[in-house]
Formats: sequence, structure tokens, C-alpha cells
Amino acid sequence: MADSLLEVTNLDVTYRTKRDSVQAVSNASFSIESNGYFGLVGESGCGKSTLARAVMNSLDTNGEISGGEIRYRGDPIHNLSDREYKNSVRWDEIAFIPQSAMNSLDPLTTVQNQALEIAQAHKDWSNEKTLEKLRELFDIVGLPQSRIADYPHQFSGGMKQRAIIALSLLLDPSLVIADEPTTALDVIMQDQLLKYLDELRQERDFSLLMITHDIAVVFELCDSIAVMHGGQIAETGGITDVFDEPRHPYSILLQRAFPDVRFPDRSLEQIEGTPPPLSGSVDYCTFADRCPWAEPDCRDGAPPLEPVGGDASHLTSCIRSDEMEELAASHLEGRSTGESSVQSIQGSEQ
Amino acid sequence: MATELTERENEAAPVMEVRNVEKHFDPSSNVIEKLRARLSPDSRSKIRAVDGVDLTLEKEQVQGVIGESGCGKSTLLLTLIGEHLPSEGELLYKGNPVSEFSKADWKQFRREVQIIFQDPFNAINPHFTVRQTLKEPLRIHNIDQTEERIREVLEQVQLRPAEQYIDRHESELSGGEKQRVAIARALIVDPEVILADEPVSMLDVSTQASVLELLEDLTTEYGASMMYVSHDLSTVSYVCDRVNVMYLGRLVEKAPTKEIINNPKHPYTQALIRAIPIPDPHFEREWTQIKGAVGDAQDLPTGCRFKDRCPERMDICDERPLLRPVDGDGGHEAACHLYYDHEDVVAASATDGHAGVDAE
Repeated sequence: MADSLLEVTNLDVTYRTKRDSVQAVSNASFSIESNGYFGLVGESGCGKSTLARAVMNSLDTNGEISGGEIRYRGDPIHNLSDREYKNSVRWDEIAFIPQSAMNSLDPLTTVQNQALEIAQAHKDWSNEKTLEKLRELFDIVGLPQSRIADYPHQFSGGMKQRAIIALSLLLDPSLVIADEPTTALDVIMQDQLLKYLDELRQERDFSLLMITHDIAVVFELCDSIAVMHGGQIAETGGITDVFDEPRHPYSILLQRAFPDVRFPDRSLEQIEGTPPPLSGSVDYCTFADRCPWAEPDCRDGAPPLEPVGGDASHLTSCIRSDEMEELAASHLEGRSTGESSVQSIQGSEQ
Repeated sequence: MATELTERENEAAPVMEVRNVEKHFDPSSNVIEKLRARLSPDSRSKIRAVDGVDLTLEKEQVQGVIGESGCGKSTLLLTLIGEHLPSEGELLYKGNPVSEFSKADWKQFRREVQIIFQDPFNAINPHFTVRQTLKEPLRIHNIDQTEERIREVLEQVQLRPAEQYIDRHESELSGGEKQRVAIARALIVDPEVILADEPVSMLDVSTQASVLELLEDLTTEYGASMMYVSHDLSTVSYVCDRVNVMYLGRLVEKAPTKEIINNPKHPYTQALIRAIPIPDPHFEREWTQIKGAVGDAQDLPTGCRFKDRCPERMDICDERPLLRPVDGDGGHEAACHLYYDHEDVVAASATDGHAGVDAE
């Protein structure tokens, strides 16, 4: 995959604690194409934010990449020092929108001064050029240009979120990593933001790694997806592949657990139990305890991430993936294919 | 002492009812501002969080209130539980106005009306074990604090086997288990009404479904009524019989749940439903056309409060729209000028300066 922008291969991330260690991410592999929108979904504690922090070289001090590699445009970035990363990657190449981004603007500095600070640290642009760029970006994310001189408290929650997105795009990064960018927003505001993100990719060449628990948002906005559970990538591939032919029990059940307003009568899937504590080395399938189809073999060695039916872009880490279509037949049937039972929610089929 | 609330109960009356209730807040934060506000009372400086709401909760009914943050839904819920006293209007419990409640009535009310909060992570005392958490309400209301009752309620909320959970502290429970303990704490006193404020929004999807199902079972099996407040219509639809849509302090539409999803009338309700992401990559949903954010409750427009964002805006929208029956099933009402004769409303608002929900 020569044109991969970001390639994560067999990544392990370990946190040291006083007593033992916790393997928050184990053997994770996925890649993001240039100009691709990639969604990373999973429940809280599944390691999705840790994975993003590993890519951003901003793990907490007790966390470290204990195996595997991260390549950006073919060059390894997981072994860069803080300073090297800051100088060559952060903001310029990869920008980060942290969780609760609404609270991550400096409350004592106007948005334009924050932009100037970022630009001065990374580029030799004139102040006028930076502000011109910021105005342009405000326009793109739907904020009035005149408001670049405002303080963060003068914006509403949704506007702050958009101001952060404008800042993250300031230095023309090729990749933006957004950790739950819409979670704190109301539905209409969320939809406005998704619309901007969707329009953005037509206007400029950039990729998005979106981390979220909301599989519906990923299905609407992204072209590829990775589903994580207990630090392992359960399944990854194009969204239509993962939706039409899910082959990992967790991604099958998760899709059925999600409320769909088109089908208010459909009962929701429940996934019993919680992920294991992940202490020590994770040499088992972390979903085995919650899986209705687990076998003794599932606890005997971590399942490798393997292509589904020879398709190198659709991978799953389930030793029973070949049988899954049959085993989960009752869960897979009766699924929607672009239609709605509700008249007020009509879309067009792709 | 006045007659006990139980003796004054009116069997035919709805469990809970609010009539044209308003709750305003004074935004002034210091003495000088407060004095200034008192000297020159200007109603515009008040935050009108709830502004003329009528709601009737029948026995064994589950009603939802949906709206965006800042629409007043949580204030409405806190008014229903008696935490906020209404600035105007009346809250009736089993036909009795709470404004006439004695201390004993309030105590009974606080036993019979229980609340489940949005954030299970902060709703339980971290120093208490599950047993202590569940004993507390029994102690306060002088109910037998038997171990059986505690175990029984733990079984009800599917924390099984009860022994495994009863001695745990809050930190030893997952998010879903915490919310179940919070639900158990509400249930242990046999409430008549449960008020739930976004009870699943902080939970993971995999646990969301089971808590929703639990809430639904509790109301169908134990005969409690419930008011369910949320911003998320897709979860509301699994639990509620009827849905009320709220926008900036007012109800803009009321209808049975199916009806509101199938046949939304108010442009705001339509936008709200169409903005819900659909978990299906083959479904091409159109992005929302609505611009801007919910307005400022301190500086409200006259007339319809949604007019500045509304794609259907007309001149008449400067008049306050009445909540009126519209075509549709089961008592469908909407407050929008699109759906009734304009001559009527002009006449109505001319005779009644406070035209609106009370004009029925």
C-alpha cells in the first residue's frame, strides 16, 4: 500500500502502573489512505484514544509504544523524540482535535492570537498571512470572519468546536485526528459539523482519523472503519464491507445494539459483560468472555488480524470468522439496506 | 394537621400535571445587579427557562421530553420534582396542587416521585457500599430496611446474583452497573413516578440497550409512570408512549411516539428527526439545512422562537403560535402557524395577550 498516508502496523501500547502493566493497545494494524476519512469506533476503555495519542506522540508519561510501528508517508514516526515530532509533524502534518475540544481553547487569548502563536512556532508566515488564512478557514467552517478576534467564551459550544477545527487546518496538515469531535454537541449541531467535515474534503486534500463511540456517524461520514475491543482491532475495512459482511462477533453485535430511528420497533442487541482488565500480556481474544460464539481456542492465543475471504482491505481478528456468517445468521438477517420504515426519514439509496 | 395526601388523592386525576408552568431565573450575579433588577424590573433580563408549559402524565404512561441543550427540559424536570418552585402556573400531583402541600405531603411526594440522573458516575456516594446506598432511602422514609428488600430490588435491576454486588463500592462498578444501582435506589421505595434525565446518554451502546429495556420493563411490570428527558430521539423512541418536543422553554409539538417519528409537523421536530445519523452506509441522508444554534434564553424573539432558524418562516411567525391539534393520530398537537387558520390566531392573540397553550 504505497499511497497510505498513515500506516499503523502491529502496534502495542503499554501503560506501566505501580503493580503491573496494562496493555491498552495490542497488535493493532490499520492504514489511512490519502484523502480518506477513517473512523475508529469502540466502547470507552477500548484503547481508541490511546491509539490516537500514540500516533500524536503524546502518550501519558507512563505509557509507551512497546511494539510495532507507525509510519507517516512511509517514514517511521513512533521513534521520534518530542522535539523532532514537534518540529516536523505536529500541526504541520498531523493536527489533533482532543476530546472535549470545546474546553481546549485558551480562555485568556483570542482565537486569532492562538492562531498566530501556532503559526509562529511552525512557519515563517507574516501575521497578515496567518490571519488571512484563519479568516478563510472561518468561512469554510461556517463562522463569520469578523469573529476571529473573539475570545473563546464569546462562542457557543458548536462554534468553539468549529473554531478548533479551523485552527487544526491552519497549517494545511495532511491528517487531522479528531477524538469524539461531536459527542458534546446536540443532534442538529452535530449534523451541521458533519456537513462541514463532508464539504471540507471536496475543498482540500486532507485525511481524517475520527475516533468515536458512535458507529452511525462513521457510517455516514467515513469511507473506512476499524472496530476496537479491549485494545484489539476486531475488524477493519471499507464501511460497506464491514456493514454488509461483518465477520467479527463484536462488530456484528455492536451494529445491532445501535438505535436506528428508522426502526423504532426493532429490539436492540445487548452485549453482556465488560472487557477484561488487560493487565500483563494480552494473549487471548479480549471479546471471548462476552462472545456468544466463543470456544476454548479463543482464550488460547491472541487472534491474528486476517483478510476476510482473501480481501486484503477487509481484515478481522476472529478465529471463527469463516463460520460467522452461519453462526450469526439470525443477527445478520432482516437488516436494512438503505430503506426506512418511517416516511419522514427517507433517503436515497447509494 | 391537614388530611394526608393519600386520603385526598383523586383517582381520576392524572398522576402529574403542570398547567401553564413557567420557571424564570434571575441572571444577576451580584448585589448591585440584583438591586438594579429590583429597582427597574425588566422582564427581558430574566432567563425564561420554562415558559408556559402544559403537560399531563397519566398513570402508567411514559412520556418523553426532547430538545437540544438549553431548551429547558432539565429545568422542567427539576420543577416536576419540586426542586424548583414554578415562577408561574401550577404543578399538581394526583390532582393536588403542590403549592398547598404540608411538610408531610412533601415527604410523601419525595418518596413517590423519584429521579434518575444523567451521570451515574457522580450520582452515587463513593463511600457507600451498594447496600448502604439502597438502605438510605428506606431509612429516610421509615420503611423496613430488610435485606430481602434490597436483594429483591437488585434482582429487579438485573444485578444478579445480588450477593455479588451488595457489598461493592461505587468504584467497583462499571458505568452500566452504576446506573442500575441508581435505578434500584429510585425503585426501592416503590415510586409512582420516575423522572429520568438522559439516563443512558453516558453509557456505552452495548449497555444502553439493556438499561433502556430495564426502564421499559419497570414501567410496564410495576405500574410506575415515567417522564423521560433526552436530547436523543432515537433512544426515546424505545421507551416512551408519547413525546413532547421542547424548544427554548416552550413545547412545540406533542404526539404519540410513532406518530411523531412518522409524521412530524413542526419544522423544528422535522429538523431534529432528520439530523439523527443513520447507522447504515447505504442510506443517503441529507445533511441538515438548519443554520445557527439555539437562541439565547435571555434575549428571546417575539412570536415563534424557532422563526430565525426556520426554513418555512412567514410574516405571521412574529405572533406566538398556539399549540393546536393537527391532522394525525392520538392527540397530535403542534405550535406552528403552518397548521391553522391565521385569522383565528390573530383574533385569539388580540383578545388574550398571553395567548398560547392556555387558550384551548
